[in-house]
Amino acid sequence: MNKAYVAPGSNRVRIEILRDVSMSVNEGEIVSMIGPTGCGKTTLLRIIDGLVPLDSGEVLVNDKIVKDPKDSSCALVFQRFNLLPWRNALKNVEFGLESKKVEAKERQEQARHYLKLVGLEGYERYYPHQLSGGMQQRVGLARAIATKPEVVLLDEPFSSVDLLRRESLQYEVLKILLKTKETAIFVTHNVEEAIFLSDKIISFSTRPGRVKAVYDVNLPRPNVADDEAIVRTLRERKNLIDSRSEETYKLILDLKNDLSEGTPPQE
Amino acid sequence: MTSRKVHLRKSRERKRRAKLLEHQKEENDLIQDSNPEKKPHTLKTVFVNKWAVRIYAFLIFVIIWQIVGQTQNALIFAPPVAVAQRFVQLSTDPGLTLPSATLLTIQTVIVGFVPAVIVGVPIGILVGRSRTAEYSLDPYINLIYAIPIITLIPLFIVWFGSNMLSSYFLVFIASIFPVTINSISGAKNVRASLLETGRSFGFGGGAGLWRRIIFPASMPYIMAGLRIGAGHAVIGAILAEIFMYTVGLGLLIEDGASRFDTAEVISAVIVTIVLGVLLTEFVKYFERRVSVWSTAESYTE
Repeated sequence: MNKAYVAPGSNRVRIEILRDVSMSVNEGEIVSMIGPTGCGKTTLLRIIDGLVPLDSGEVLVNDKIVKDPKDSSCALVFQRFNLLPWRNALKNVEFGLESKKVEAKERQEQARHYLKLVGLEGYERYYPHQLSGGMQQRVGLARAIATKPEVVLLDEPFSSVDLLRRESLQYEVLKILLKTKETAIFVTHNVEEAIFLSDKIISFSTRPGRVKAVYDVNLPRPNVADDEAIVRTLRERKNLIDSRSEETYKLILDLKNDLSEGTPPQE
Repeated sequence: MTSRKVHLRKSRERKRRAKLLEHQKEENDLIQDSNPEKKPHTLKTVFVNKWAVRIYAFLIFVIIWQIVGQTQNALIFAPPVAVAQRFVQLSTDPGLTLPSATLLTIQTVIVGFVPAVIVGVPIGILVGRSRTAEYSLDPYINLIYAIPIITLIPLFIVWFGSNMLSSYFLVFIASIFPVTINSISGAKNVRASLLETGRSFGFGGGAGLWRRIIFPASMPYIMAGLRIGAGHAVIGAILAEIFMYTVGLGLLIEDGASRFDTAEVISAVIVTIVLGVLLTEFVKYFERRVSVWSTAESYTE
């Protein structure tokens, strides 16, 4: 079983960001962390990746303690894509594999494979500034999953993509994550997005961030590898959310309630 | 209203509409002009006009120079025709005076400038990234950069004597500071998000991070430093050749002036200018290649 467990009372720059956070993610599960701005969910994601040290507690991935990105078997997908602008798409995907001591030829082959997986075959030689935001984020996803991580961490991956393309990118990303059977943690502050994306939603309170509630999302989940079947199920999922169906209505209300409680009244 | 009048009015209106369309088209052309890659045609016309104007301006300049030159003492102010004659003479005489002097100056520039880049870029990146290096070295870098290079010449003569070595060293000193200072800015301005990306994918502070993130991210600044440094290198070489170890183009300038051979001096100056421009353009070529992404990025950021 794949388990990520966090129990920090993280004190950074004297501002208490996270307090007594404890959560676990099962293998193959897709989890969303939702909470008001500044609740430390992005920090938590970075702690899980090993980028940010914690003051107390520990992160375990497959029973291994994570202290540094080097020993973390997680891969991060960034809000602002963070592609290396001097590298083309292929070289950007290769970047994730470069610290893994993969032979150059093998590395390139794998990068090609993952670019194809995210639907960017033929764009290998394009530089980030020549790609749309959605395409850049797909390169970012390919870079992350090419490292064959235990957990994919996605930090508001859709918020830098314009609204028109956001929905199709959500489908695309979720489809790929399901197809490759990834374990994934999303950070988001959009309720509908969280429900659409995840099997489980962890709701956080305002700073210092604490786990407020954990909700299970009981919506149809595709478990076939066939692209069309996945998309069909996802569309069904989306319809259930958009139509505020019985299954989703209460969840939406609860989550929105959680979020609004976190907002300071003077704002 | 007669039918003829109606017809007239209609035709007038048609003309007006046509004119409006034409105007709109012109406007569209103007808008598209801002995207030169897509409209090579307009670019070409602009290009031709630009060069036509430049050539006319140059010809007028030369003619004025010729007229003024003829009224002056030929020893003190050589007109362009005399310069051209002397230029050809110096380039084709048995000793190949001008070409060999040019080669010698190029040699001085290269032998001084290349080590300046090799030493200056790593120092700059180090100072840009390390607090200790910054606090200990940055003041001196700025201090020495502020020294007019010519004031170092007497000191260099005392230290190294009047030889090629001191010329190389003067070029080195003249060009290393712009290279270093720009490399510092480059290394300082590496976006934190890129550093984080590097760390997240397993390059934590070691050589991998320097090679894969910090160095390429600083590249646009480094190239700008190289461009400025190349100009300084040419200046340094000429200064060294005039005041320290008189060879190359500096010798022609110094020697020509002492013999009141202004035509020779101007010939050497022209070659120096061409040398500086060519070297700068050479660096600019590489600069454009690396800055494609940096300029594109500054639009999206």
